[in-house]
Order: sequence, then structure tokens, then C-alpha cells
Amino acid sequence: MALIRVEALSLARRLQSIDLELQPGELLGVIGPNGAGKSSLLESLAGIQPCTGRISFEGHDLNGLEPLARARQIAFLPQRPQVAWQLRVRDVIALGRLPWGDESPRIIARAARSTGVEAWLDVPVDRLSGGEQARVWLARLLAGEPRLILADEPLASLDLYHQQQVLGLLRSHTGAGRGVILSLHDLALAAAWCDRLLLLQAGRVVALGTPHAVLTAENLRRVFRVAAEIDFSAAVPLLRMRRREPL
Amino acid sequence: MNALLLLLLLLTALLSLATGSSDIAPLTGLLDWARGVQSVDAIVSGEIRLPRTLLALLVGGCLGLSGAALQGLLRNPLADPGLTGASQGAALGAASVFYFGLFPALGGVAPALAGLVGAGVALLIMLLLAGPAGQAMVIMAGLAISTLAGALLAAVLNFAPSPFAMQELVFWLLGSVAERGLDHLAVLLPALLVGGGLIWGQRRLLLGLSLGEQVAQSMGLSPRRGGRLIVLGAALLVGSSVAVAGAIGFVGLIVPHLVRPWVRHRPDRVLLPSALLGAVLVCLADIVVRLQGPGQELKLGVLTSLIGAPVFIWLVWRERRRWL
Repeated sequence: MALIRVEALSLARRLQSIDLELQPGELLGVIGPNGAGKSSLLESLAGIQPCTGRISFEGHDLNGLEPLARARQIAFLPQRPQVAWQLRVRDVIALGRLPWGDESPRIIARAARSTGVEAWLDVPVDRLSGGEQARVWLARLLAGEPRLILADEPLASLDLYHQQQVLGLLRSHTGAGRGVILSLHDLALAAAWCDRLLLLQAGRVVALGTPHAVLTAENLRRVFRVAAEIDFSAAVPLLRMRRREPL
Repeated sequence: MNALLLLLLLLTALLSLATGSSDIAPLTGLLDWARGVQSVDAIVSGEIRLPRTLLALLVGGCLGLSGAALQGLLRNPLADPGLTGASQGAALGAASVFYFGLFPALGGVAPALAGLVGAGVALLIMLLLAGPAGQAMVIMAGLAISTLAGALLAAVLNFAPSPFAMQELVFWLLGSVAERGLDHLAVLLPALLVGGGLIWGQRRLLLGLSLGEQVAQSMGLSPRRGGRLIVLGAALLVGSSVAVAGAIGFVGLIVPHLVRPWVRHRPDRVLLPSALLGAVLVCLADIVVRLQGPGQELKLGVLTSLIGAPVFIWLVWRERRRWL
């Protein structure tokens, strides 16, 4: 059974009749130019945007779930995470337990260990670098033990090392019947890490399928307005630009 | 932390019962008063100092709690509970009693009750004006209503029927817990219970909001509805304390700052200690007021403002350095 199934999802002027299915164990990348509707889609799935259409989670209508029950299954990482107050790393991770109403030290410690932030548990999170913070935000998500993670551009403003690290953590979350949907701009990374890609343009689905099927030169030209291709024959997929200027 | 503050609160209360112009045995007096024995000690302890102490503690608790709640809701350490418009509404309501002589049957409690009505009306208009918009709009609406109530208050002062009425009104506005009885507690205590309960029920939201409204919503919380309940609770607390004791400035603004480092800056854990410390500080300030002796004494609200304003300036200075 699909982990999440989306039928005819629409959001006023931003998304138009999106159909989508995510199987357990899948890492789905949402790509598209700025304003394509990537964030709107993730926010709709997270229950933040008042969308129309039908979303079912493991066969159950998502709207029929209590907000807290929904939050236990689906965790959302916003595009620019921020934290008010000088909260310590430990307390930020504990926030992931809010839908459960506990602050289980065992689960918090496990989330910190799996993201490699256990050394900073008592450091205020605003003293960490961007790359270190990115791991704390992920630890917060993991502490909620969600079946599905929705991450809106988790790689933005991260260096190459931290990009790989965050992707590795998200990849490892897809084990045991769980899933991840993330939006990203780096098409080479999308090709290298995602099982399938959803290409959006102006709120509509242009293509949905394997990276090979979606990242064609024709799609890159039409949607992203660049002359480029993805070289899938390289050890790691490579984006090769045919022209320096946009089309 | 909470146990320590509770102990401090108890000690402050005892000190407050022992402080005053006449030399009495406060605990014996209280026991006599409770048993209905008519002695000087009993009357001074039970009918003058006990209500004054309890009022100071409750007013401080209301102000501290409402400040902590609003700062958490707005994620702004410089938010003041007066921003809801409730305190100016309460002041206008109470001032109208002095001006028009409303509710003469109620005697000394009339300003407090009218203040509560004023706070309620201001709150209602504020919520209607803000509509379904977000927290920022609630505060803009609160500011607008606060300004309107302030203008009306100035008009009431302007047309005061006599210099005495005006003096009475101005002194009342300066804030004090003196010359009030246990019947004032009947106004304040329900407001503290209801307002405090509303806020306490939303402490998970306050914690969740530290990651922003979107994330709070994705965690199954309801920032809009819960935010309204917090504003309502805070307005009840601050409105009733202004209604009973006049304007006692800066307590709600400063106290959460003093508490925050002790609770690892968590907005959910700052609530109870803020209420306790607020109670302690207002009661201590009132003890200082009483130590001045009879005559030209400094009013409680003036004292808290004189102490609070420099602390506030220091806070702004510190916040500024953080943003540089």
C-alpha cells in the first residue's frame, strides 16, 4: 500500500490538480524552478495550507485524522528553520516530541546520536554553524519518529559536505517502511540520491518518474530554460551545461 | 526553581505582614482575626495587612504570568502585557467611576468592577478589529484600542468635575494596593484562575511556537485558536490587576527576563516562575512603599516604573548588541 497518496490536490492559484503516490522506502525529490509550487505542495501535505483534493495516508483519509495523530506520522521541516529564544540543542530536539506529549530522554538521545549532534546537547542552537544547525533540525524531526518526512529545501545554504550528510540522513530514514519527500534545486544531487523525481512548473506536474526519465534535456530546456543535460554515465550523475547564458 | 521561588514568596508574605506603621505581632494577630477575637493586632493583621499582602502577591502574579505568556506568543522579549489594550480599557472603566460616580452601591469595589468591564469591552473590540488575522494584527489592534482608551481617559481627566475627583483619579492611576479589602480579592482571584487556566492550557503551543507558526501547525497545534486564548487570558490577568490596583508598570515586561536563564529559555517553563517572581517583586515593592511612613509617599506603580524602566533600557541595550 502507498505510504501517501495524493489525488487532485489543488491550492488557490498555486497548485493545480496534483496526483502523487509515495511507496514505503522511497525518497522522492520535488524539483522545479522558483515559484513552481514546491513549498506549497509540501506545506499542503503537512497540513499547513488549506488545500482541496484527497490525501490518504496508508489508506486513511488524512483529513479524518486528528491534528496530533497526523503530526505523529508526518514531520515537516520548513525552508528556513528558525528558533526564537536561546533554546539549547537538547530542547530543540525535544520539540520533536510535542505531538507525543512526552520528552523521552532515550528517544532524544537516539535522535542526537544518529545525526551526530550529541556533543552539543547543552549548547544554545544559535551558536552553531549553518551546517551544524541543519543536523539539529533533522534531529528534531527524527525525535518525532515520523513515518514520513517532508523537507523543504533542506540543502539550501549548506556546503558540499553537509549537503551529502543531510541527504545521507534522509536516505537512511527511508528504511523500515518510512518515506521522505524533499524539495531541492541541485539537479545533480536529485539525480544521485532520489528514487523518483516530481517536476513541477507553475503549480502543475510536468513529469513524475525515475531521475533518468524526468531529467531529460528537453525538460531542462522547457522548464528550467537552460541548455543542459544530466550525464548518467558518470560514477555520480553530473549536470553538464551546454551554454553559459539562460535560453 | 519553583520551590525556591515559593519559599521566597512565603518569606516575602511574612515580611509584608510584619511591616507597617504600628508595632504588632502579625501571626498572633492573624490567628486572633481568624478566631474572631477583636484585638488591635487582629484588626491590623487581618483587615489591613492581609488583604494588602494578598493583593500585592496576586497583582504581581497576574502581571508576571501575562507578560511571560504574551512574550512567548509573540516570540518577542520586549512585548508588554499592556499591548492587548486591556490595561488602558480597565483604567478608562475605573476612571469613569470616579468621574460619573457609577455603581455607588458597590462602594470601594466599584472602580475595580468598572475596570473589569472596561477591560472586557476593550478586549472585545480588539478581537473584532483584529478579525481572523495573525498575532501581529492582534497587537496592532490592541495598540489601536489602547490609544483610543488612552485618549478617552485623557478626556475624562480633562473634564474632571472637581480638583478632588481629579486628584483621586490620578492617584488611583499611579497604582497602589493600599486601602483595599478582601472584596477586591473576589475580583482578582477568579480572573487569575480563569486567565491563568487559559494560558496554562496552551503551554505546549507556546513551546511549539518557538519554531514559528508553520512548524507549530505541522506539529498538530493550533496557533490561531490557541493564540486567541492566550491573548484572552493575558488580557483578563492584566485587565483585572489594573482594575484593582491601577497601573503597575514594567513588572510583566521585566520579570520573564529575570526568570528565563533559569528555565533554559523555554517559553513553556517560564510561566509559573514568572508568576511567582512577579508576586514576590510587587509585594517587596509594596513593603518599600510602606517603609516610607505616612505623608507624601511614593505610589507603588511609580516605584516599579522607576526601577523597571532602567532595567528595560538595559534589556534594549543588550538586545541591540545581539543584533549588531
